Amino acid sequence: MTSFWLGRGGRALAVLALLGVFTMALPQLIPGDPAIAVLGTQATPEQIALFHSKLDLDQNPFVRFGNWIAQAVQGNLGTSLTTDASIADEFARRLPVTLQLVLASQVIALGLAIPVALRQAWRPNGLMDRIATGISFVLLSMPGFVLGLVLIYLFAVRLSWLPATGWVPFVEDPLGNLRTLVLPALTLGLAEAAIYGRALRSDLVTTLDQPFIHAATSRGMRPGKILVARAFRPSSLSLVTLVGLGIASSIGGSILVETLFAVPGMGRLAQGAILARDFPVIEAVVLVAGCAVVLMNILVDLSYRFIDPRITHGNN
Amino acid sequence: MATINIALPKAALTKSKTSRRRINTGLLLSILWLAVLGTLSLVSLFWDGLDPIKADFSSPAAAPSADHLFGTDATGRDVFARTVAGARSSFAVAGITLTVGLGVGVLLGTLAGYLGGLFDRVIGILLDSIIAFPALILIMLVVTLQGPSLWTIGSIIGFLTVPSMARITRASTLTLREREFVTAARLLNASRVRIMLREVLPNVAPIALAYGFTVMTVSIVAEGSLSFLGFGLQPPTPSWGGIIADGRTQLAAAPWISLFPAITLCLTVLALNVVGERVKGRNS
Amino acid sequence: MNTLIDESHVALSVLDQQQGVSRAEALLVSNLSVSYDTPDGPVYVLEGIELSVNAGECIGIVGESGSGKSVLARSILGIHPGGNPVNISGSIEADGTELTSLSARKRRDWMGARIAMVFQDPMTSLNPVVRVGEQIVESLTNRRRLSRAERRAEAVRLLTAVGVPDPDRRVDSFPNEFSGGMRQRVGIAAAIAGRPQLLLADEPTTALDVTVQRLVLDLLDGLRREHDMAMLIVTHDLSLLSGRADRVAVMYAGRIVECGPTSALIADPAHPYTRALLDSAPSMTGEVRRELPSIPGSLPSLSAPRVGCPFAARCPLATARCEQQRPPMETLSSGHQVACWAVGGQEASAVEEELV
Repeated sequence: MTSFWLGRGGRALAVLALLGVFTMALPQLIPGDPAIAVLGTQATPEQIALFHSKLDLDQNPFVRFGNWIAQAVQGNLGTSLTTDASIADEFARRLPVTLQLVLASQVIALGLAIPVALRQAWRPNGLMDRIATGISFVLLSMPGFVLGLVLIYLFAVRLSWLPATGWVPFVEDPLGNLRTLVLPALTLGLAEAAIYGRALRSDLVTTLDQPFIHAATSRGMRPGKILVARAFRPSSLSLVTLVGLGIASSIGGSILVETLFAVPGMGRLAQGAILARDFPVIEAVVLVAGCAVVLMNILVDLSYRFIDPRITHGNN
Repeated sequence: MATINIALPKAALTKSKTSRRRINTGLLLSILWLAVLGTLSLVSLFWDGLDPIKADFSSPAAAPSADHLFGTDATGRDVFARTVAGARSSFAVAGITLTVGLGVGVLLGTLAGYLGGLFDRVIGILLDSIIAFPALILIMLVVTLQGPSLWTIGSIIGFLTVPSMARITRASTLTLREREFVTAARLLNASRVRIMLREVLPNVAPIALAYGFTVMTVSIVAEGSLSFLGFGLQPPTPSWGGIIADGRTQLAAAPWISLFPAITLCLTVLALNVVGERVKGRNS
Repeated sequence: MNTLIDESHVALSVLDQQQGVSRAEALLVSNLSVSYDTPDGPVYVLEGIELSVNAGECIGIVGESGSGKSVLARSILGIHPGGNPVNISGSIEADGTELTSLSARKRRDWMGARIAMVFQDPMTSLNPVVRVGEQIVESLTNRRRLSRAERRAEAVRLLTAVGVPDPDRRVDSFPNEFSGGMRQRVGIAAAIAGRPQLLLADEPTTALDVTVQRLVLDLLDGLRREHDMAMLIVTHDLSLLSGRADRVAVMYAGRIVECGPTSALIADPAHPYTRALLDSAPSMTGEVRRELPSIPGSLPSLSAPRVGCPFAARCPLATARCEQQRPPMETLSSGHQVACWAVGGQEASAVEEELV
């Protein structure tokens, strides 16, 4: 038990360290001097030297990562090369936007996937199951930017119900916020719903042929109750894994949707930083996103134990 | 350590019962679609009737007609020709991705599964840290720094598929390792390399290949996204994502510019998914 | 208990009186055939099963795996794992009610309440993520609302009845916290919760350690007598039935080939298959033999309806007739019946000759 969590934590730290060192090595991995890449060939030696010292580029990646951590624990994530603004402040503005988007999309995804998958598993290979399977297959084959465009075309261009792009912060206008939230959250959520729904349906169908379900049937339990109260929980391990993965990856992976809908979140920050070769910002985004992935993995592991009492992380 | 090990979501590994029963029309249509698209993109290499760059300035943003099957874009270029050329780019990138992802992934996965021990752990941590890296950011970064060539885009996407491929092959190697014929080979004093090459690899390869279709869809979607964001193949080289992004501003007036390449892209991914699903079902 | 069920009881007994029947059979299976449509083609698992279980009686069903004995038990409750389409013909009557034509909703009134089942593997037949206390009282909570305290009290009572130590604490445990034998006791508790008149036990001890098999069987036996239940025990081990079952039916390849009072059947097995089955089992009298004879050959394919006697291919007494014509069930002595041309046919005709 304890040794499991020690091992698990140790592995997480190793992964983060590796990620950090690799991220810090990025500016040096590009052929040529990153200073020239950023400042241009006309840069004077003084400018280049200043750039190097600013980015700590004369140090090796391990030292740079150590320095970064030392600063980060004090709440200092560095300053942007392009705006000279504090990255921590920038995150404080943008992280809530992305988190709101992620939360809304997960609510949509789970709200669609769970009832539909339950209905599908109730009558596998029935009409509803086939229709839902077909729709989810189409959704799975639709890249996010295509789905987003389709939604914009339908709801903004054709029906004019919702704004195509833009973002209104919640504190300014809750209703306006909701209106700008719907389309990007749907774009992320529908794709996730297809993934979640397929996994859950498949696990449910497997579970429903388990002896313990037949035993519950033999005791006169209604199929609906069996589905919800007996089959759902033991079928939800894949779902939980995927939700963890989905949340973690969209912290750093909502670039597409944020760009498409002009949402001022972490993704757009990252995109701008990449275009401007703003290394301190890129490093901070990557490390925060990496932490999110590692943290979610641990949370997923924890939730397994909660879902299934048989799973104990003891010694073998 | 842990008593359970999460590899892939179970759903990805379970076969669907219906797919085995009959040769379904969906599968046939999918294969047909991929064949037609593949042939067209090859033909377009030699036949200038499908020139993606030649602009017909007399009819910009023209609706679909007999002359221009998919209509023309804002500068009068034929959307059909551009879509076919886009398929060429997508398939080229997918091919590179597949080679890198399968090659490196299968090698690492088989080694990690077969050798186990410290090597397995180190590889595991390495793969985990790749997964922890936000994928699109890494692709965009590398493409920005290295320049957006087919090779760069294909290999970086391939690099990012290595962890999943390695995990899949590692898992199947682990089960193979305990099978009689591998044990028999070990008892016959066959060398590790020989067992790997002769006994394990031939059995792992078909499973990995089945996931190759998934890798290709990932590649096509990733390349499309990248081009859509303006980080992909640069004009005038057509790419599905790029064409769709071009038509975005005219969604209201000329929806076909984005619509047809988007449909083509989705159908291609759908077809690859259908075929891949079938092949996976066969294997399990 | 449930008013609805009590009323139907009254109605039934009235009907019985009118027809002059003292007590209907707890179970009457006639000409039951079951087949599955699998992706690899149809499988004919049961062919023309005739079986009756009187109220309070204990019947054993014996056969090797693939004989259809478990399918028979599960078909009574309409449980068919595997998800393949099922074709059923014939009739299954319980207490005078035809079960095969019941709607799913009506059938649920029977499941758990009047007919209950103990499953083979207590490892997999208990839900791993639901506390045993909740599972035990399922057949009660499915019919009426019970408060948390009532459910718990009932579960504790049932756990006590099946001999689970420390029931007050164990009621909140998960199945994985029990040993195999204790887990099967939990399964039995769940089965008897609804006070069924008929208990179907599908290989209830096969998955258990040999040392606890007898304990579990004794428990079932005791509960049956205590609650005056009829019981159908499915097993591949004939020796487990002696002294427990009133009658035994031997199944082979989806058919009942012999049935009779347990003692008569064991002392004087008629069907060549029953004899082979008894010969291949370790001696019950403690007599040591060097080698157990095994039955040569294997089960016939179930992918087509069997022509003739299904055992013909393995039978030392088989004749051409056995291959072509299905042997009818014939009575040897009181309650002892066999379906065999070589044995039943001869003896039956001999009896007839004597009568003439």
